[in-house]
Amino acid sequence: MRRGKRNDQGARGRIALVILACVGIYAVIGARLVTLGMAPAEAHDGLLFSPQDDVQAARPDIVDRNGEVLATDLATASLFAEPRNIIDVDEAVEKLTSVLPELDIESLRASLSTDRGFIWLKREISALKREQVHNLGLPGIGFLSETKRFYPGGRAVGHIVGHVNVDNAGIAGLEKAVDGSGLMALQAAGLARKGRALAPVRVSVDLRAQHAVRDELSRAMERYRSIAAVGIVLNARTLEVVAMSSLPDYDPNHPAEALEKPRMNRALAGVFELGSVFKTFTMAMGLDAGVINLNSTMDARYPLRLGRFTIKDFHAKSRVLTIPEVFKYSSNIGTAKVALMLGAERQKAYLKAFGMFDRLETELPEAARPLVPSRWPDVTAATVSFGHGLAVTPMHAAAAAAAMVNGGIFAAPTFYPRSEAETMQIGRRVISAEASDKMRRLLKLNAEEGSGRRAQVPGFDVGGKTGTAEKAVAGGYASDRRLNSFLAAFPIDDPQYVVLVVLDEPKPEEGQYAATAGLNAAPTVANIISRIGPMLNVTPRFNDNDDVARAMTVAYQD
Amino acid sequence: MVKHPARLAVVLITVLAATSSATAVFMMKKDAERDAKAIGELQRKISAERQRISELEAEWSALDHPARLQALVDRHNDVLRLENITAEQIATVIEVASAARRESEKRGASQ
Repeated sequence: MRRGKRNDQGARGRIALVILACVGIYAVIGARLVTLGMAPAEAHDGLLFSPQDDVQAARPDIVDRNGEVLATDLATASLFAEPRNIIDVDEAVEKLTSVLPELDIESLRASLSTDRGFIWLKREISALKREQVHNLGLPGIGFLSETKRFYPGGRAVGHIVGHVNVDNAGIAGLEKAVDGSGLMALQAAGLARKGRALAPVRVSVDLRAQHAVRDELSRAMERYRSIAAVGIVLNARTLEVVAMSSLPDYDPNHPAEALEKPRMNRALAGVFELGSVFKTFTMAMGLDAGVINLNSTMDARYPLRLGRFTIKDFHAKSRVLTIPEVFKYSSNIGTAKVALMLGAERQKAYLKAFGMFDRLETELPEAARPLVPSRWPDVTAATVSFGHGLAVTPMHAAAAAAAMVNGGIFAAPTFYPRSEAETMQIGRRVISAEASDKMRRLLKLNAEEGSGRRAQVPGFDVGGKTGTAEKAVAGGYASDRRLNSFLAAFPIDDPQYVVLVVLDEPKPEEGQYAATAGLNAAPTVANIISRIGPMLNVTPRFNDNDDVARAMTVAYQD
Repeated sequence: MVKHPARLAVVLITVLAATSSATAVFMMKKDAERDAKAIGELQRKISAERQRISELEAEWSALDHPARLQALVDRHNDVLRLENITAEQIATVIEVASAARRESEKRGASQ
């Protein structure tokens, strides 16, 4: 009894220990339950995954700066077969080809006779066909719903958004850029699936402006019978691309069109010797380096001889010209002399700073490298000064022009929205603010009195420079095939937008004897600006206020 | 009657507690299963709705694409009589006010 009691006491101690341990464990479990209970309930959509999800890798929508959808995912059905489960191959082949006559009978029979577990028969079939195939009631034939990319923006934005292949991977344009920026990794990790809200990708393009530019370009192509046309609208301060159109273009809903060579994106993937619009850059170099000022004079009495080359003026004045006159009359001699005063090395350094020697690093993968002459003797310096010998993309010219008028800040253009502050941060100064101010005056003068008169739009103070370049052909330049361009900024006193129009091989209009840029590219720019100005909230300004009184009468009539 | 009433009570309470907690856990498990099912169902519906919304948005974008609107306006312009807006039609309130003032001054001067 005593022994038992002693044992009993020992046992009690052990039992107490066990109880303590149990209480401790349960306390821990309880505490953990409480913490789990406190945690916010998270949605578990991992619960109902099916093979269906594997083919539904989603892409984010692409929307324009106002939220208009440019590209989105739509659900479509794709037909598959499980040959292993097909009982009667002949019956299956007969019935399937009755509904889908485009399937090849022989290869269908061959593929259904195998012992494979899964094969695609036809991707992306219409709802009607789907219903018909469903009603055949064939075993071993089924559908998976897949996402198909749809581009409501259509042709207008084809070159910008690009397109995807049948597996929904981006292969051109922004679609490819989106894939490059981490979407592939998300899809691989299974995080990008249909139904998951992927944040839409917002681009800087304004669909309304884009359409207006495209519409005016197609009218210009028809009117001046040109073979191609390019239009670019850049925000002068942020270098955001507001519109970029290159005709002929393609419909991203029919991506096969994109393979046709004439439908390439000339704005970014085509290089051209742009001609006299380059005088803008040469003048800016001269003014910034201080080799000329607005009162300098250039002797343009005689053609300029450099070795065996002679540089002549198209609108020859054969007298001594001031710098504004050189610009206004688009004197090749005067401009070449500015470049020679500057020297080849400084000219190259400036062109390099303006981005003219490098591929433009925008988000779009299709961007061409400029064709830069390997040697740079005086004659090259002279011809490059007025836009021959150096082939760049129209986007190069537009971006450099933005820097010429916005106070001298250059940054690579972008298709994603960015603020002025960001641009100032990543941008670099390429010319001084004073030089930029003088350039604005020159451009204004040229559009008021010079070759750019037809680009004027009342209220929007357009400033700009024409360029009529003869196209380079084998062994020289063709005098009958021209590349006309007009480079403009508006309102020129404090530019908000830069507009560049390039017309490839325009012919003279009926009743006109010539097809110079002032006669076709400049009015096209005027049409574009008068349409996009109000859209982009540019406040029109009139010098005399009577116009406002007239506006009141117009606006409040009837 | 009962040898150790206290002990019996303890046992009874323990058994009761064990049964009731087991029942509660069972119920919770069932609830959780039902909720999980409901969540799955709702999520399927949400995903279907999202899909529908994106389809409608795509349709909306296709319908109010500027090219389509322009074609419609061109076709029906004899009824609509719409024109492109010109810069002259845009004025700020201040400009309108000053123009109105000048107008009234002019009228005052002519009277």
